[in-house]
Amino acid sequence: MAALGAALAVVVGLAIGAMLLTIGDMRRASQTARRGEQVLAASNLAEKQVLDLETGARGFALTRDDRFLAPWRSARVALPRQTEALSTLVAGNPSQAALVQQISDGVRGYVDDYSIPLVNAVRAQRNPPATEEGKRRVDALRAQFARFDAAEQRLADARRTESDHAAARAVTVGVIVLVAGVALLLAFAAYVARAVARPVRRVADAADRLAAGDLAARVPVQGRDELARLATSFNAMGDALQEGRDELDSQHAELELQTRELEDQQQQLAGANDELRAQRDELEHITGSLADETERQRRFNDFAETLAADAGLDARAQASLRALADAAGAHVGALYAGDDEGSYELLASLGLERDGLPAAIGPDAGLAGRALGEGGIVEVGHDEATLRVRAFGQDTPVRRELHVPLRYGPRTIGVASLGRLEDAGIERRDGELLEHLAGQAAVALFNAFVTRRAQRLAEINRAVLDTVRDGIMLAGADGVVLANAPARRLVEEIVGVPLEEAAELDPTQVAARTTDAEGYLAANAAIAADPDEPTFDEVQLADSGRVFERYTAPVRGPGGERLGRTTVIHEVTAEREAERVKNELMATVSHELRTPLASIVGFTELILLRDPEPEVRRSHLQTVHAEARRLAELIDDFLDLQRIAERGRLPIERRRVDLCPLVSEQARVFAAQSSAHTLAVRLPSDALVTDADPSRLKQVVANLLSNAIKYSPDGGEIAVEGWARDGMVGVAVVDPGLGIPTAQQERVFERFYRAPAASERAIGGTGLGLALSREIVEAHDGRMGFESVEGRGSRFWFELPAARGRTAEGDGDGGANGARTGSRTV
Amino acid sequence: MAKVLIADDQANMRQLVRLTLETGHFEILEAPDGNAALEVARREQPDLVFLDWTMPGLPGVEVCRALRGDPAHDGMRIVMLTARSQADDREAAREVGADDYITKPFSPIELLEKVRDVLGPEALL
Repeated sequence: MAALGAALAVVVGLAIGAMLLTIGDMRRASQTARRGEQVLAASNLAEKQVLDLETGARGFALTRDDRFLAPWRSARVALPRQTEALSTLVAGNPSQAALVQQISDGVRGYVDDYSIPLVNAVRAQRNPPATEEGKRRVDALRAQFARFDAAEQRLADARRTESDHAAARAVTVGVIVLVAGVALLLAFAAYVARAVARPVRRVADAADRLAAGDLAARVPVQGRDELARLATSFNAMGDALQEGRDELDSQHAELELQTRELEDQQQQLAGANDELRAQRDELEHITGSLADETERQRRFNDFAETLAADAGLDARAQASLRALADAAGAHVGALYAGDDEGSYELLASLGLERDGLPAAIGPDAGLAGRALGEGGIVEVGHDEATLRVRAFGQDTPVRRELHVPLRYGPRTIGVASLGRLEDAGIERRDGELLEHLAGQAAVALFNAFVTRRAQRLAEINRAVLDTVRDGIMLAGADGVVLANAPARRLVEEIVGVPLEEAAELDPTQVAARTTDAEGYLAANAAIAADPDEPTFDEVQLADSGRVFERYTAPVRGPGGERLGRTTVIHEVTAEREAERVKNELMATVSHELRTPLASIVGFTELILLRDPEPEVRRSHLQTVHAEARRLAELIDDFLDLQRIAERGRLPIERRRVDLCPLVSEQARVFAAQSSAHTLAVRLPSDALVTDADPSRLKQVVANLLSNAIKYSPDGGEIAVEGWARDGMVGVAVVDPGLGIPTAQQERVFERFYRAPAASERAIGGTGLGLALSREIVEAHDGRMGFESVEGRGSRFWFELPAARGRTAEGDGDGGANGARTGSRTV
Repeated sequence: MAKVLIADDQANMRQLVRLTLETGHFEILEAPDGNAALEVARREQPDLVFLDWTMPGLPGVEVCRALRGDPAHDGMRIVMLTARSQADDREAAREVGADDYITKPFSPIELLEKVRDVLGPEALL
């Protein structure tokens, strides 16, 4: 086979070599042909340049126009180079080279000997040489060119023929080589089909079998060529594969074993995982319970804090109820508690509408009452919808109710009634917790009740203190601890600033407001000097004259500790005024009593001492008698007023009385007492009949007449009038005296009031007369009044209801008759 | 003979004093109110004046004050004879210059003793 290949290579190489040779011939032939064409072109160009010289020179000579010299000049420069190039082209051809030499010489001679001198002559305006010379020379040159071209043309033709031959040879050789190559290739293919394809196919089949899994497939090894090696290699590969397969099988088995082991482990792990999950769930459950427990603890802490804090009764009750409901798992509830056993008020509710709950319950109140009575938790379950309460805005069934008594020591102070919406009993722990919480709640509520009671007591104390008219205050080291309302008012009135600012005052400022600054400061000093000593002093304000008693005393707490000092401020302005009035009254009464007494005592002593003549003695005794009577009247007046002061009204004994004789009689009595005054009595002819106490009416008339005389110190006429009209009978006494200043008129009927003139002019009297007279008139359902002008006199009058009948009873008829005679002067 | 003025609005009182003193050797003068008392006292220069306090016109203490304010009446003895019996009243009387003070009611003997004390024992002879 190698030999066959070598033969084939030789044949192909020979064929290619022949073809290369032929092709070289063809290329050489075409190169020569192309050289010949170049030579002809160069020759033609040189011939044209010669013609350019001749025509340029001749044109310039004829026209003397420089434009004709442009081709001449370029040709003159290019022509020597052109001939040089032509000689180079034909250097390989001696005949042609010689011809080119001749042409070159002829051109040079034409240019130098003819053309240049011609141009120069024309430029120099000289006569140019004859043109025939030029024409002849150019014709000669053109002939030479023609010869050269012809020779060259023949050479070119010869070369073209030779080239055509070479091409024909090349084609022939090529065809032969091609045919030979094809034949050889066919032969080679046949051989290869036989010697290579079959063993290869066997190997391929074996490979297919291998691929299909038949690792035992082998190829027979024939000869020692590549195919044999291939077979050997294939067989070795098969062996290697078989070996690898066996190893893989064993590895696979091992892997399967390991896989099974892994699966076993995985199952174990899964089991462990389930267990862990269960534990985790358990833990979560415990954690959740702990959170719930923590929440409960927190709420109970809140409860405890609320109880510990200074919370009020309601807040404590609400916190207690919530804590108990939490512990019992209740959804609704109400808490009742009471300060005294027997009645328990609603203090808190949870979920329930308060309006629907009784405001208070007693120990007879159903299950709650039972819990209260027994002191233990009462728990009852209900069927669906048996017990419905109004809760959370709707009718809600309570499935289980609990009543937890709130016990404090031996006392049950309340009950928490709780409702669960689910029917589940109390767990043991919750039960204990409930009782524990109930105990705490009971203590808290009990304390709140005590506090409330204390607060109420404090409020009552304060209210009581405020109703006291005296100012009461307690001042400690840090200032005023307690002050009732009057204390605030009085302190401000005394010191001039509110109580809170009083401590900042300079005591001398306060002292300056009083009538006795030194006394005030001394009292303050006494208070400061001995904290354990009570003090008492009196302060009178200079501007208003108001008087205050100040009593201070140290206050000690139950343990003997000093709490401060109470100050009681008691206003005694009215008492002092009353005292003053009373003293004045006493002085007046005493004076009024002493005056008649002086006569009585003096005249009786004279009689006793001197035993006078009967007439003298009689005279003295008359004086004594009159004065004694006067004294008795004074005492009566005084006692009457005392009686009015005690009983409010004067006792009267009504009889039918005609005022006319009564008034006339009194007028006569008073007329006798004063020579300076005349009494004009003007009474109507008809009787002035009324139902009255005649002795009292006598008192009234006497008082009016007495006043008229006393307050008319300059004498004059005192008029006494009487009338009957509008169902009333009236009497008036008119004097021309001092009158009463307008400013004083409203005080005229005050007890013990005496007109300013009374003291100025030392007019006697008790200041009781008019007050008593008015009391008497009003006791008879009458009225009394006066008109007065200062300096002009007064008119005092009174009116009494006229009697229904017409007939007057009793005494006084004679006086009445006398009065009917009309006015008369006594 | 000593001159004695009795000033009192009550006639009974003037009579009582005069009767009491009539056993002695006195010239008795009377005045029914304060102004009259002052006028008589200035005019008559009595050795002794009995002054009621509560009189119309000028009260007795004011008569006393007026007399004591005039040096012409130095040596005149003035005795208040009054029903006012308060300690304050006695003090007020002393302040205006009264020599003595007799409260009503009084006994004639007491009055005579006062006269003797004020004017000297010979006045009663």
